[in-house]
Amino acid sequence: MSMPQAAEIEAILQRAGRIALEHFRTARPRWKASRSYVTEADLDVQAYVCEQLAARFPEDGTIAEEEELRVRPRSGSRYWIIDPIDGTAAFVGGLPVWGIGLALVEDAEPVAGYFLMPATGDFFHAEAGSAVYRCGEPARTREPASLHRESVLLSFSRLHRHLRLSSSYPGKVRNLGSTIAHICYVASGSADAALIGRVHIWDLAPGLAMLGNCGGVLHYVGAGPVSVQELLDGSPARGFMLCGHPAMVRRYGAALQPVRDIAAEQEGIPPE
Amino acid sequence: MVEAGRIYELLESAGKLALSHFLDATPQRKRDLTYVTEADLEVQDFLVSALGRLFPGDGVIAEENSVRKDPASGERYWTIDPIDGTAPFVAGLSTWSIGLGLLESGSPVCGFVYAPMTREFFHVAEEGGVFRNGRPCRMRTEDAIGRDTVLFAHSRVHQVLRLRPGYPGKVFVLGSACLQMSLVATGAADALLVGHDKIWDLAPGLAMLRRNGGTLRYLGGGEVCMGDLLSADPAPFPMLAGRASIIERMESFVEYGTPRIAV
Repeated sequence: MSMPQAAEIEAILQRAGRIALEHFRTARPRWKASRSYVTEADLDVQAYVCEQLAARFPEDGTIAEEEELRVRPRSGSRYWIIDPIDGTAAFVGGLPVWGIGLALVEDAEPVAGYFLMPATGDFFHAEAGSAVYRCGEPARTREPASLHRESVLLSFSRLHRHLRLSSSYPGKVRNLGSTIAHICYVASGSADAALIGRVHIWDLAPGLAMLGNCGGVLHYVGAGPVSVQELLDGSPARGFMLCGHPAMVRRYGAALQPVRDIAAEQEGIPPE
Repeated sequence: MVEAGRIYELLESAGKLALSHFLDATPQRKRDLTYVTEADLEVQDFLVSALGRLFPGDGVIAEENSVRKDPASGERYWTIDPIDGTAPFVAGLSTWSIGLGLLESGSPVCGFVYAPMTREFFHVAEEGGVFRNGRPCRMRTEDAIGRDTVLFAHSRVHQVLRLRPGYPGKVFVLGSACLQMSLVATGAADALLVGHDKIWDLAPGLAMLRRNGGTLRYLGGGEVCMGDLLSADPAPFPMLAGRASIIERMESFVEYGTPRIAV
């Protein structure tokens, strides 16, 4: 079983990125069962990446987001995890931060992660034992520090429905619309931590491979580490998560509280 | 008349200047505690002198070092934000932009916003529609607030305001008011919650927003008047931008929390 080379994976993703860009800003979403957007672009990109990986790594299994595609390994225990477009709502709205995520998981451990952002040209990757690279340059996680005016927490688009950040948190909160991008940004030092909703393995695995290589962790808020094993069946994470340096995950965890909105409960708005 | 093509060329050159510092910029703190880099200063110098050559009679209000020139004739001012989103720029994020606004007698008449990372250009000239990359765009028309409603916000909302958990839609925070307002004006999002921003953050997007039938109001009511912000003071209250019918509904989901002084 051969190990992937970053250059060949990047070449596959760059061609997939051109497919996505052809759809960018003209994409017309339709509803899928999980009520997030799916577009023609997701399906085209996924089909292309799956076909390329199957030709190159025929023994490996595949777990992909769209249509809950799942192929067991012919031998060994390696799975390729594919998110054809992470940040579909941003993609459909014509926002810049979305991308194609790919991870290699072996024995339920993420060993390589790749993320290409076609609209901005960014490519992040990490392989077994390597540094995290942004566009070929090694990048580093931020040094942990007390929360201050310029601390940056990346967040998700429905945070307000579930958690409240203390008004005494002196820093900033941003949401650019793509979970994988957020984890890549934390791993490469563009932000201090990322708060993540109840997403799936394909939203987490590429970034997890990077976090593991830069001293970062992914924990449930106020609890222990997230295990990839329990997400391999395609079920969503059982809680909200924080990623970053362990000290930052602890500090941000202490600044968060659950919200309860009686009015919304009476209106019968279901949780995520 | 202002030629949009000419302004595009200027902004594209300014974008290249900024990009030459990207991932390599050392920030300095300003008096208001926000960041400035060599890139902000170089881009601003470039734009101030280029606009001075093209429109010698016009005044200029620019962000860095309180650069201000009153009009030699007439009542036109150009507002310049050399890098709107300096913090995202310094951090290596892609959501920063360069904003140019033109005010005439205190009203925004032209707006130009360029996002160098994605080479996106939003503009409205003295006449005609609002364009994104040369294509005319309108605002979103959905009146109801639902799961797909997109609200842009600023990065310190949690310190002053609370968004009620009953708001069923999404919140994005890109870190550039010029870019976010351009995106609302061209239909990529429904509304925008703006903090205590200044005239150069607001004028370009407001020109686009008004041309497309949108509005910028203070929370609690009152249309925002650019003439009141010519002094370059920050806006006195948080604001909502979008179509009037959406921002009225959105306002019911926004409440004041307990303000705390940032440490």
